[in-house]
Formats: sequence, structure tokens, C-alpha cells
Amino acid sequence: MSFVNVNFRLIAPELVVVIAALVVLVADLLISEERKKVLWWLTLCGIAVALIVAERGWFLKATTLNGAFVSDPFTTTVKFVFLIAAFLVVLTTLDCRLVRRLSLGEYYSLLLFATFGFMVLASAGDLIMIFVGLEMASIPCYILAGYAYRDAKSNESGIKYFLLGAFSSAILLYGMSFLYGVCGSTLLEDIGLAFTKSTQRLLIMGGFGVFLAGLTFKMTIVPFHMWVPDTYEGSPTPVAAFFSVVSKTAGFVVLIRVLAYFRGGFASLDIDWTYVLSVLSVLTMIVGTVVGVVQTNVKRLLAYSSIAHAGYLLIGVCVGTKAGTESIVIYLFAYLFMSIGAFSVVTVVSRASGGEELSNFVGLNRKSPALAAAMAVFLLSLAGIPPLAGFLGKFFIFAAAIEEKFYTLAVVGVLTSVVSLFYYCKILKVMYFAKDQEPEYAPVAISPGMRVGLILMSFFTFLLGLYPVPLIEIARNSVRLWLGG
Amino acid sequence: MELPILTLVTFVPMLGMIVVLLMSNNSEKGIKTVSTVFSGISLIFSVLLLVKFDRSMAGFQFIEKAPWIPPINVSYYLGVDGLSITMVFLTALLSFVAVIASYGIMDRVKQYFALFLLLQTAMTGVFVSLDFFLFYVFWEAMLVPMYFLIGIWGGPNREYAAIKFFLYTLLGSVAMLLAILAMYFTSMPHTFDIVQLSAAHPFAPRFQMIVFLALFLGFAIKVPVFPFHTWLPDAHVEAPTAISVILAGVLLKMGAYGILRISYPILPDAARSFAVPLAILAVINIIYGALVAMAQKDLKKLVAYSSVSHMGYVLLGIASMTTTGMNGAVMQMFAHGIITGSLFLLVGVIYDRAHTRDIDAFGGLAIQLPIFTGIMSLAVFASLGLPGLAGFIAEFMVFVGAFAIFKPIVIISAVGIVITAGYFLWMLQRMFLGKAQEKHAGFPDLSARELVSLVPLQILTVAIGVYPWPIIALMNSSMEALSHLMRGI
Repeated sequence: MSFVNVNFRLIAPELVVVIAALVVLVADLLISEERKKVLWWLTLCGIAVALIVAERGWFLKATTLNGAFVSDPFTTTVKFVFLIAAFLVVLTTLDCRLVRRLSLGEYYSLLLFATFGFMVLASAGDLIMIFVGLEMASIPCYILAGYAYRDAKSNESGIKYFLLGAFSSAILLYGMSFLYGVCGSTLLEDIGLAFTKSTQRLLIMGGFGVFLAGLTFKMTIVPFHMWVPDTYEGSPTPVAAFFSVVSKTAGFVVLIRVLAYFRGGFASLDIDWTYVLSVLSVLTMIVGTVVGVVQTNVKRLLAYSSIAHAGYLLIGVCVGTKAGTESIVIYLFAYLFMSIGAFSVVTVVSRASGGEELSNFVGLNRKSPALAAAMAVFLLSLAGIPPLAGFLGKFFIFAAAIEEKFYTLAVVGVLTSVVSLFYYCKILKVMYFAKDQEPEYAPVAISPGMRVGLILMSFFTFLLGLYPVPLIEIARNSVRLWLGG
Repeated sequence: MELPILTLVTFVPMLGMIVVLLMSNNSEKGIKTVSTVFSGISLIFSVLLLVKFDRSMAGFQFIEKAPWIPPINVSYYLGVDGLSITMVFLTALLSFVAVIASYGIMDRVKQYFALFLLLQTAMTGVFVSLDFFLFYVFWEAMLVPMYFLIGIWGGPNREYAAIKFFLYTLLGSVAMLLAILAMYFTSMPHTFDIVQLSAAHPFAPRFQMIVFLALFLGFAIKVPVFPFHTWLPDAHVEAPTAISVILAGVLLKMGAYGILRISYPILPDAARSFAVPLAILAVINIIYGALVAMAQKDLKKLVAYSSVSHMGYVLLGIASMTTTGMNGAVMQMFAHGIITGSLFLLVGVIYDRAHTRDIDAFGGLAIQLPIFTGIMSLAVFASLGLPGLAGFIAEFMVFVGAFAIFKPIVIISAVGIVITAGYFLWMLQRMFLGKAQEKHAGFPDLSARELVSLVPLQILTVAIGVYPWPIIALMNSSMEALSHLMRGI
């Protein structure tokens, strides 16, 4: 075992993000209060450089650190999702400090560290690396969730997330120890191979089951979704936006990769996890939608919506084919823009009106037609109305399910989509229809960064729906090299 | 280069929407003018389409095709045949009329007309698409402006009506989406091409049955077929006048259009085995709709339920699968569009003046509003099927076509005509005859603007009633081909 031969070219994007995080942290100490805006630029530049560096990964498949770190088109695509999400979140939170009196430098560096952790997680080809990545990502996330420390809700959110997150990590580790014990290796590839020779069916099932339980926590899959609404509600809104996309994506990536390595082994042991995953998917879609219907806090509503979307994504995992994985990639990109977009509008509204209840959105169309229109686009996209990006995501997921004859999943998926429209319409309704009881607050002020961010996200929400060819190519490319051999 | 006339008909209103969005909030008059102009241009293009259309051909004309999403074989594929050209013209005409009828909108004018123009593009798009994906995108895209138009500018119960409309139709369309995907993956090679699927008939009978039912749910909700009709009275009653015109005139036609365009040619075996159930549902629609209409106190609800009843004739004609019956069905779609369009406009007129639609609140209006009464009577007589007017021709053709196929059903459904005459005449008597009400004495008769939106529809109603051949000729070839296919000739 030699760790000296590290291929730095493969881990370059991660290195850039870490360096950016450190630079921001140090710069925060040196820059005077009035000029803190520089940090914002530094963070954005850091992410932009990481995006450029990561681009190379789209064309090669290689491993380093003795197979523990994998770089291939699939991970690269996922890292793009992370980096774009981080970019958008940073872009839309320039004046965070002004409102909540938080330290800008720490906030940005924590975001970067979390992004780094998730990127490592996406590339993990080894159980230890999965755990290390997860923890590197989670710890900054716990802090971010409780970042508005003067706010009791944020405190509660941070603690809840931390405690449950720590439990889930422990559970995950417990499952890993089983897998290691049975197979004698921490490399996913070796474990998959060991399964085929093993006769320890029960131990493997138990180990993987526990592992899965830990993982579904991150993916916000029912029944491990309990923390989501509370954490999202209490976290600063941009942080909730970040969680809704990045944390979930990371969980899915790990599951997809693990299943890709283990599938052959499971088949030879005659273990079918698809059934379990299908049940989880159905439960997640139903709980996310039905419980969402009764929410009156927009952030909680979006939290339940994000749970429901995890259920749709899980359909793609159940299908398990190339088409299924492609559909997940397409869905993730669509979800990225519409979810962060919707949360960003919530950020603006709550800043102007001091809350995130439905009543704070009453008559938004009169106060700021553009903002209301952007929210309408994001919500309709989340509901899956064409020609927006969300429709395309759902279209590919359902198509993959029907192609592989997962009819029940497809039917539950479309039915919950119809019900979910009901709760998205609750927001549309108060923004557009209500003619009385408008809350009193000054005209909505939108910072330049937020404005650019919202324009970009609405633009992409339309573009991905109207002209999805490049996105489909990206999805195909990212799956081709990886699953094809 | 050939003029991409279908693209123009479809997207000119959307261009208008963009122009409207760029205009200032305050130039209400300008916004109304711009909307009229763009909707008018679309109407002119649709007339041009009628002129250039080759009536002897059964297939699609004015085809435009370009790859859109090549990885999954989706293309931007437009074309019209006798069936769709009739609907495209109807859409353009009623949209233009509805824009004029919307001049009374005072609240959030810019948003209203922008949404309306978007709606027009989406509706036209449904009738010209020959690719399932494109068809579905237009079909769904139409729901959003409709939701807002009912929800913002509608009556007191608008929020409930808007969400009910949205959820019901979305439920139908997602069932349709699953059916479309099933067809896509079953066809070899995978295709969304409606023309190709109609020509190839690649599906096994059992598969056809399942897909037919899923599609039917989508179409039945739109038609609306009993028992999926409950969204309709709510939506119609709450919607502003112009939107009621569009709902009854165009949206209801999409369900029947879908059956004729997709279910029949692609799934003929399943369609044949469902002919009798379809006819039975048609009779229920006719009789039940008419009976419920008779019980209404609200004039708008009466017209709404009369639509349920009249769409039953469309369904009956479709179920007969004869050339005459299907011609009658399409004729009824067109005739119902212009007649019910006028009726809703007239309801809007009287509501503007009296602020009530309660039939019993009126009386002796014939003395106070003679022109209004004249036009109302004409529309009502056309709707109840008086010979010489458009409605009669359509219903007559449906009955002639269907009688040969299912005699008892047709005999029962003929009772519907009597009931229809009953509730309409009773309504006329209560509202227009008898003693005039003092409080309605000062009402002005129809204004010039109202006449502009109403008169063209009346002229068409009479013209088609007297000389229906030009419009039958438009669809005859296509319906004949479809009928031959369905009956295996």
C-alpha cells in the first residue's frame, strides 16, 4: 500500500475548492469590515476555477489512492451539480451578513468546505473514503444549519441536524463494519467481487441494510426524513437551499455507485434490493406529498417537496439501467435550478417581510411582479408542468420506469405529481389571487447578486425544458463510460 | 421558401404576448390594441390556411418538421388535415372574439392579455402538433394560463374553480402521458410520431385496450364525459366571460379531438370494442346534461350544462364510426364552439348590466333590450337544433350516422333534443317574455363592441345552417379515411 503515488490531476477540483476555502478564511482576517465584499468575489472565483478544472474529468475514467478515489464522467457531472449549487447559493447571499449579522468569511469558507466534502464523497470508491467524505461534508453543514445562532429556531435546527446526523453516521459505520468483516476489504469493487464468492447471505443483507439506513438519512428518504422539515425551516434559507440540492445529491451518488459495484454480487446471492428501494420510493413520494399539503410555512412546504423529489429520484435508482441513471442526472440538473431558485425567492421575501409563512407571500405579485413570476416558474417546474425543466426531469424518470416495466412506481409518481401541484398552487394562489390582507412591508429590495442569480435560474429552468439536448448528452456521456465498462 | 404558416398561426399570439409584456402597465388601451392585432393576424393566417387547403386530400398538409430532441426522437412536427384545420380556424376565431370581449377587463390588464395570448398559442399548438411530445407540451402548457385567468379574474368562488380545473385536467393529462410513454416504448423503433403510429398500427389488441383507457381518461375529463364533468360547471361559472367562451368553444373540443386524432387511428381495435360503451356514455351525457340544465336557476350554469349535453352528440357521432356520424361530430364541435361562444358572450352582456345571472330576476327583457333578445333567440334556437341553423345540421348528421349502428341508443338520445328545447324555451319565456321588470328599464342595448364580437358568430351560425357544404367539404376526406379505417373497409 503506497499513498505516495497520488494522481494530483484527478483530485485537482477538490484541491482548488479547499484552497479557495482557506484563502477565504485567511482573507477574512486581513480584510477590513467595509471591504468584506471581496470575500464574495473570492468565493465565486474559487468555485469558477474549480468548475474549469473539473471539466477535464468528463472525458476520462481513472482512480487514485489505490482505488479509493474515483474520477469518471459520472462523478464529474455530479461535482458540477455541487459546484453550480454552491455558486448559486453564494451568488444569492451577498447581503446575508447585513441582515443576520453573521460573519461572511466563515460562512463562505464553511460552504466551500462542505462542498469539498461532498465532492470527495462523490468520488469515493472505498468505504473509508465514503465515511471521511460524509463527515467532512456533514460537520460544516451542522454548523451552517445553526449558523444564525441568535435565532432559537436556527439553534434547534443545528442541534437536531447534528444529533440525528451523528446517529446516522454511526449507523452507516456500523453497516460498513459488517461489509468489511464479511469481505475483508474496504474497496467497493473488491466487496462487490467478494459477494459473488461469499455464502454469508444474511450478514451481507444485514450489513447492507444498516448501511442503507444510514445513507437514506442523507437522501431524505422516508422513514429517515424526520429531520428535514425542522432543519430546513430553522436553517438560514440559502443554507436550506444548499442542503436541498447538494446533500441529497451526494446520498444518491453514493447509493448509485455502491449498487453499481454490488449489483453483480447481489445477483449471485439472489438478493433483490430493488423491491426494498421501490417500497421506500413509494413511501417517500406519498409522505412528501401528502404531508406537504397541510404545511403553512413555505420553507417547510419546500422541505416536504424536496422529500417528494427524493422519492422520484429513487425511481431512477430502482430502475437501475443506464436510462435510469441518465434520468437521475437530468433530474438533478433540473432540480438544482428550480429548488435553489424557489428557496432564493423565499430568502428575498423573508428578508423584506420578516417571515416565511404563506401569509408573507400574499399579494407578492403586486409588490414585485418579477419576483412572483420567477417563483411561479420555479413552482410550476417543481410540479412538472411543461415546457419547464422539472417536466423534463420527471418525463425521463417516468420513461425509464415504464421502459423497465416499473408501472407501479410510474403511476404513484404521476399521481403524487398531481397532488403536489395542489401545494405548489397554495403559494401561487396567495401570490396572485388573494385580494385582501396583504402584509405591510416596504417594497421588496433585491440585491444585484440575487437578481443575477434569479435571472440565471429562471433562464435555465426554461432552457433545460425547451432545449434539453446538451443536458441529455451530458447525462448519456456521464453514464456511458461508467456503467459501460 | 414556403411560408411556415402553421408556425405563424401558432406563435404569432405568443409574439404578441412578448410585446405586451414589454409595454408599460399604464397603456391599457395600447395593450388591448396590440392583443387584438396579434390575435387578428393569427386569424388572418388561419383564413389563409383555409383558402390554401386542398379539400380533396385526406392526409396532412402544410407539414413542418425539424428535429427538436434527437436523442429520444422528438421532433417539432406540425401539420393539419380536415379535422385539425377546422379546429385551428375555430380557435383563431373564438380567440379573436374573446380578445374583443375582454376589453372590459380593468384589473391587471397587462397580465390578463399576456396570459390570454399565451393560452391562444398553447391551444392552437395542440391542434397542429403531430408529435406526441409536442402535443403534450402544448396540452399542458394551456393549463397554466387558464388556471391564472380563472383564478385572478374570475367570480367569487374563483380560487376553488381554478384549482379544481387544474387538478382535474392534470390528472387526465398525466394518465395520457403514461399512455404516450407506453406507446413510445412499445413501438419499434421508438417514436412519438403520431402519423407514423397511425399508419403502422404496431400494437397488440390487449395493449391497445389498456392504452385506450388511459388516453380516454385524459380525453374524457376534457370533453367532459359523465362522470368526469364536475369541474366544468364550476370553471364555466367562475371564469370571466371571454374565458368561458374559450373553455366551451375550444377547450372542450380537445377531448373529442384527441379521440379522433390519437385513440382512433392508433388504437382502432380497442376503439371498436369500446364503441358501445362510448355510445352509452354519450347518451348519458345528452340526457343527464339536459336534465340538469333544466334545473338551473343561474343562466351561466344552464349554458354550462347544455355544453355537457351537446358534447354528448359529439361523442355519439364519434362512437358511430361512420363517415356521416364523424362528420357530424366534428361539425357539432365547430357549431357548438360558435353557438355556445355566443351564448356565453350574451350571458356576460346581461351580467355586466344586471350584476346577476339569476333567471328568475329577469322578465320581459324583449321590450327593454330588443337587439339583445334577437341575438339571444337566434343563439338559443341554434343551440336547441332549429333547422336552418348550424346546430341542426350537426345533430342531424350525428343521428343519421349513428342510427344505422345503434338504433335504440339513438332513439333514447333523441329525447335529449326535446329536453333541450324545453329548458331553452322555458328560459326564454322567463327572461324575455312576460311583464317587464322596472329595475331593468334603463339598461342600454348591445354596444358596438359587443356587436362586433357577436355578429360574426351569428352570421356563421346562419351561413352553416343554410349552406353547410363548404365546412363539411373541409373535413369530409379526412373523416372518410378515418371511418374506412375504423370499419375495416
